[in-house]
Amino acid sequence: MGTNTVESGVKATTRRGFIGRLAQAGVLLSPLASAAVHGASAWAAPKPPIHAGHRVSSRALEGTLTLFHYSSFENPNGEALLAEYESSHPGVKIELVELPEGDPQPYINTMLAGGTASDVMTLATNQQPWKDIKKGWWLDLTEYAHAPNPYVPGNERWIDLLTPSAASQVPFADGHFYSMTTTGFDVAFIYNKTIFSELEVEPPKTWTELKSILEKAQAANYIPLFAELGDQQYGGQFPGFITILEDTVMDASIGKMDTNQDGVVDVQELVQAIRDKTYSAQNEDYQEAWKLLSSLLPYFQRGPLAATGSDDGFNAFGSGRVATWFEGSFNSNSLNNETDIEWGAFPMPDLTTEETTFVTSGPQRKGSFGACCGYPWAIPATTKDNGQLELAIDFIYWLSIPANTDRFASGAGVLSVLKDAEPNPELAAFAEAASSVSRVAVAELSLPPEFLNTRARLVGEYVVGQISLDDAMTQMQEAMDLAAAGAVEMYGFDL
Amino acid sequence: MSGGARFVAPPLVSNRAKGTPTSRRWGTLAHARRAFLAYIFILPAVALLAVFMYYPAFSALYHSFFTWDGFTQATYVGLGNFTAMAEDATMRAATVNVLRLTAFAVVVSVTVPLFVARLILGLPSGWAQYVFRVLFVIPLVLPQVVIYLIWKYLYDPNFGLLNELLAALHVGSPQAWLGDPQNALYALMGIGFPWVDGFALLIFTAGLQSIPREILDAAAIDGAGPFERFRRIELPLVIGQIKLVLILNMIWTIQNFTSVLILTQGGPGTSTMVPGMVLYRESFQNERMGYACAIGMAMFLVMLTLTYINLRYVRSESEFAPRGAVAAAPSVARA
Repeated sequence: MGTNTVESGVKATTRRGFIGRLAQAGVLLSPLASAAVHGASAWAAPKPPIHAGHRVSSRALEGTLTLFHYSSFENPNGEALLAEYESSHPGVKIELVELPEGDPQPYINTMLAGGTASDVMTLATNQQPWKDIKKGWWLDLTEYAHAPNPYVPGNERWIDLLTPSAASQVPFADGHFYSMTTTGFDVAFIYNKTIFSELEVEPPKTWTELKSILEKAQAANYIPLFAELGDQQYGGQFPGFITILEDTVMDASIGKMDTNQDGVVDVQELVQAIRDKTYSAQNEDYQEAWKLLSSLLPYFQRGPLAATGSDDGFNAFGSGRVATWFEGSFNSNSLNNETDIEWGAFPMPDLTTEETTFVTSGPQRKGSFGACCGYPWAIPATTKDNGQLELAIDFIYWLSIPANTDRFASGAGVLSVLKDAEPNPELAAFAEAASSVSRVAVAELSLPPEFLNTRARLVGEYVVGQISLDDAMTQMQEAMDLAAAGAVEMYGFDL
Repeated sequence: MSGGARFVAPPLVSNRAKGTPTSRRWGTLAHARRAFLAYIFILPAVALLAVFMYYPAFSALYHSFFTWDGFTQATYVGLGNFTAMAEDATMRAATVNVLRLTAFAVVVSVTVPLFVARLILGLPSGWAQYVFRVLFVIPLVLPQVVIYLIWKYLYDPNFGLLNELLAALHVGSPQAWLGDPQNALYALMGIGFPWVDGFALLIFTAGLQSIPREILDAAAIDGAGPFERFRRIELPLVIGQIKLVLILNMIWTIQNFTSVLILTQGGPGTSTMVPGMVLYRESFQNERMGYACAIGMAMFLVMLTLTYINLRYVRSESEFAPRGAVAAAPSVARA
């Protein structure tokens, strides 16, 4: 059992891992791919039903709301929430649309293109609606994000419910909202408490301490750090390592890239920075992030490139021979329910001048995903055509009640990004990461997916010494330039 | 017939229908009606084939000349996608990899099952032959994905059985099988060891069983030993099956990317990347459907060419001779 002592029968899964498993398995893996989410909930004790409160409209809502939910409601918390919504809205029924076996992305695209999409769609990291703006598949939800949530007394704008970090991540570069999310996820070092106790070490605060712990673990014949260095998929957790480091060692450059000084580099600013070489693979500060990751190679498991996803890490960590593992919060339920490992988590330790001269003097960010990558709620254009928009918005508002979001997040293994969230203490490290996300994270995820795929591949090749830093950076620069051109075309930027 | 010989069509109606001009007319009409019905019955199958097979194929051909995301307006780029493919380092690596995988696959897919089929048929007991055939064929019902996942665990560099075995036997040092660019492609080739493909085994068994006993007996009487009989009689007579297995394995290997997707995602680097994987990524992850169509077309042309070469040049004096068609074999038997 992990740090959470509440028993649970959830056959939980990491969301990225779940998606990855499905994608890997393809259509042939039907028996295995159905290993989704079943059973009882984690730590969330039953709470009293939420009062219906005020609705979007004064007239009674009715009808059937279809919800493509990415298995996020397939847990007792989620089921209870749906039942409560239905009971507080007597004329409404919610119909869950199941995630199909195989790669979900073509399925979702086909539904959207064919006009048969669900009324509300939960999207995965790699299915942000931004890339579909030109296709006209998604509704612009800006007016609803700026309207008060009638279920939260005193709320003036829905967006004000979110933490500032989350609120800066949810809108697209054009300032519009194409999704409304109250959850996020992020990465941290998951550690084996038993091993740490045996080594008589505490979670590190700095990289120097981290390396010291890893050395001790190595000396004790444990795998110091399990790295999924072979994960080349867009939205993969381990590739986020570089994104976090970039923020710390590129502080000055990022300050220049953030031309509107809103604290976040949006995709348009990133494209501009690639063009004017503020963000360039030839820059020393950019290369520093890669070098830092490479310095951890001696502590990685044998053959880190063979680890292509969270399943590999999960299996290794579950063996009890791995001291630390850099992964996402989605693994919490699985760790509790499928292993006997006593685990904890700590966020990315701070870099010091001992490690790099590029370190920022300001706060160091810990996350690489945050609010962009929890379970964003998006509404297809067809929902409006079908007269379901009012109901869809009402459902999102209702789920945005902080207590509801807490329960939903707990059940789905994600993090609430609402100001009044009461996060599960077990996920505190992930929550800390999600509340201080690298300023370039969302922009990098918004570039054409080849960008992150290529970066993950090159990082892997460079770190294990298959290619030189120069070769890696030459290829990375090509990938940057291609991505910038692709983004201009995809979003229609006028730079 | 001689001189001005001309083609005489076979009678369209039975002799019974021959008679008066009127009856012949009725016969012709009846035949036309039957033919019409036959076409009507076959039409749904043809229509479905056209919609789900030929239309997508021609659509892919068409869209290979366009930049297209699969949903919005396509832009004509001529041979741009094909040029891009030639300049794409990942595609180049994928092409080399798939050629190596294909070369390996066609060799082991023919040699091992044929050898095992021969061994099985050499067993004295029919019951034993049956049991061994079934044992080799049973794995066919296992989903390929399950097999790949088993091999993934065998290859695990830290916890895998293979490294444990090496350590136990004190042979070599532990390897990062799928995680080492030098090993990864060979590790993929190793999947399925000892490579007794049940499907090929059945084909070869059927082929070997259909060789008339008399030929083999005659060769034995002439002094040919088991190896000579296999080399000079059985091998030439199953060349048809060999060609079939060759072609099918070649096509499967070129098309296949499931193992790569599950085990390596094409890595480390591009050491196990194959065109099918590139096609999949470009189409469904990167939404570069036009480019993916071009890759698909290139793969189709390669498969067509290899199939043609196989059919044209892989030949024997005597091709498959079903039981009873003894006449096809004498030249071989004489040899």
